[in-house]
Amino acid sequence: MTNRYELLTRVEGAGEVQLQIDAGRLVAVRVAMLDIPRGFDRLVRGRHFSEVPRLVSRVCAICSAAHRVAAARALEQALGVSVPPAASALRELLLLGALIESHALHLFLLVYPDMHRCDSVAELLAIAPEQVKAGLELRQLGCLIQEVAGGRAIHPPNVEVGGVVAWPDQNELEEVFKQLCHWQGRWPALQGLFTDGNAYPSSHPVEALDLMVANGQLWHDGAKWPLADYAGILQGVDVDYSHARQYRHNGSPLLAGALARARLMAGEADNGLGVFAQCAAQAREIGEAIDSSIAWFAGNYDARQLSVPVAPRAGFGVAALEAPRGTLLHAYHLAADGTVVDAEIITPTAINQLAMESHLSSDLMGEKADDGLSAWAAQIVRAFDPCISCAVHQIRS
Amino acid sequence: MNGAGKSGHDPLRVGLIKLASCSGCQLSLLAGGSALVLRLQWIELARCPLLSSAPVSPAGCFDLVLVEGAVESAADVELLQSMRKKTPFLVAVGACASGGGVLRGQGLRAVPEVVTVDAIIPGCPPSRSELVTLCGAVARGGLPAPLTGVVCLECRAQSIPCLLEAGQPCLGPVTRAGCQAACPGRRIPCEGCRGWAEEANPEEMRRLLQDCGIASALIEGRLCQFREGAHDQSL
Repeated sequence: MTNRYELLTRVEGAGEVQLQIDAGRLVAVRVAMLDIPRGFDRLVRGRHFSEVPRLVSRVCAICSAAHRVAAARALEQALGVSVPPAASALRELLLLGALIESHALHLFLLVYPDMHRCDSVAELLAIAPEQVKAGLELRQLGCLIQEVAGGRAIHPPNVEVGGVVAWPDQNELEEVFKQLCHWQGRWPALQGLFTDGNAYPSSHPVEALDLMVANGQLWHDGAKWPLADYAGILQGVDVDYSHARQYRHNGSPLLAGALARARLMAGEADNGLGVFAQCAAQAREIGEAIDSSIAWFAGNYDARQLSVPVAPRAGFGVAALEAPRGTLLHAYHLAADGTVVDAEIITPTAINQLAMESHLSSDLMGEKADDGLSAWAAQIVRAFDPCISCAVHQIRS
Repeated sequence: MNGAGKSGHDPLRVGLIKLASCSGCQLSLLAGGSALVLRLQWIELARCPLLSSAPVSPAGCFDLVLVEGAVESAADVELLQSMRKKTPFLVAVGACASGGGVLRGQGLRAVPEVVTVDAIIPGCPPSRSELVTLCGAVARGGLPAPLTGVVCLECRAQSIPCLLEAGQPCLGPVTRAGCQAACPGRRIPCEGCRGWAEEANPEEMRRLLQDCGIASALIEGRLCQFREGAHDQSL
């Protein structure tokens, strides 16, 4: 019996797949998240609520918009305020930009090299320059939307507790609209790169309980639950080999992200793609996000009213949203002076950890432990689009 | 910038190290749409697990090593020391590597406390143009001149209306220039993510924040979040 520890590449953060080999065949597999836990739940304790969005956006650069909005919403609930409609709308546009950026980064820079058996996007430039260029331009569209709606593509400062700080300039909004219209025409021809079944190795259907949040409810296993019941659904377990807490439901793996959303909302099947249906679902979501962003511009927003005054009070607030990679939950207990007593942040990658392991088993168990096995395992983990900085943010209990 | 290779058209061999961080510094370098194609032709990402699965030769040297994130473990220290021997230019990139950033007070160390760095590039995240300028300078065998001045001056140069005068708690007067006042340019107060400039006058800044109605208990958190002060205040 031997163990192989294979560092993951082309994923955000540091992690590894641990393969246990017996008689030349795979007999067990685990996924370990190895980034250094930075303890955001702890570092916001004692800080004033107004400082929290700025701090927690730093959990992750790719997911910074989602963290910042989730934190603001949870804190606004704890403080009993509702933000003006224009602020809410601008945050929605920011999140659409974040989705386009995150999915484009994952599909074109991390996944696409696998399809041409390349190590990196730099190598891929010689083989498929037009597609790489398109992917980078699409990612730039997502960045631009976040810059305009959030003030910056990474750690967008425009979102504060109580609303947003500023409404974008008209000429910047017009540029975004123009580019969105361009991409609405361009994306359908590119989407097939990731929805085509021949692009991926064979894979079994992902067996996990699909999870998402919509209209303030957690959708899970055919039922809708109040968000306040999250702790009963997302049961956290610390494991000794990973720096990230794993989540499960009554022992079963959970799945968050584009594939879970597609299965829950449209009852979509995986079309024989197995775990790679996640990439296909992300590609479809890019098209939907472009359409939704264009539709956003048809709205009428009163940009004179962007925030409401917020006074400190004791309270508890929990908010969840669909980050590009899946359900992201923030919860805060505040003291009467508005400082954080306790915080909890649950990220999609932490939720998906067990599903990654069980799916690796399902696709690879008993496979010959040759040179290709590690790359295959990495490709499967990559399809889940893990974000390890996000997953390990937590201090272990 | 294309073809700025140190000898003919050799690409610049860059190693990227991520310690305790959010990947934002690497993503800043790797942003910019199809302009990145050009960058990937003259910058070889010789060590970049985020984007490349290519094996890294243990003996390989780098023209430039960029370190993002704060130092946590003995393994981090060992990695930095070994990289230090493999490159003429090791640069701490971003707020966490340079001074702790949002991780201040978490018992981590800044990169300059552990190895000699040739430069720091501030910012949370650092600006893409500053990172590309750094790579270009190293490709020509040197380092860019350190930036001077404060964000305030960048606003004035662009005729961006003053947010402080409008009663908004902007840290432009104390914050190192170099971002082209990107946030104030969108009417969002500077959060000071590039750290304090040498000429910063924190006393005056405290008074200005008070005038904006920021409660005194909140002034230090806002003002000092991204300040590099590793030597007088443990991270």
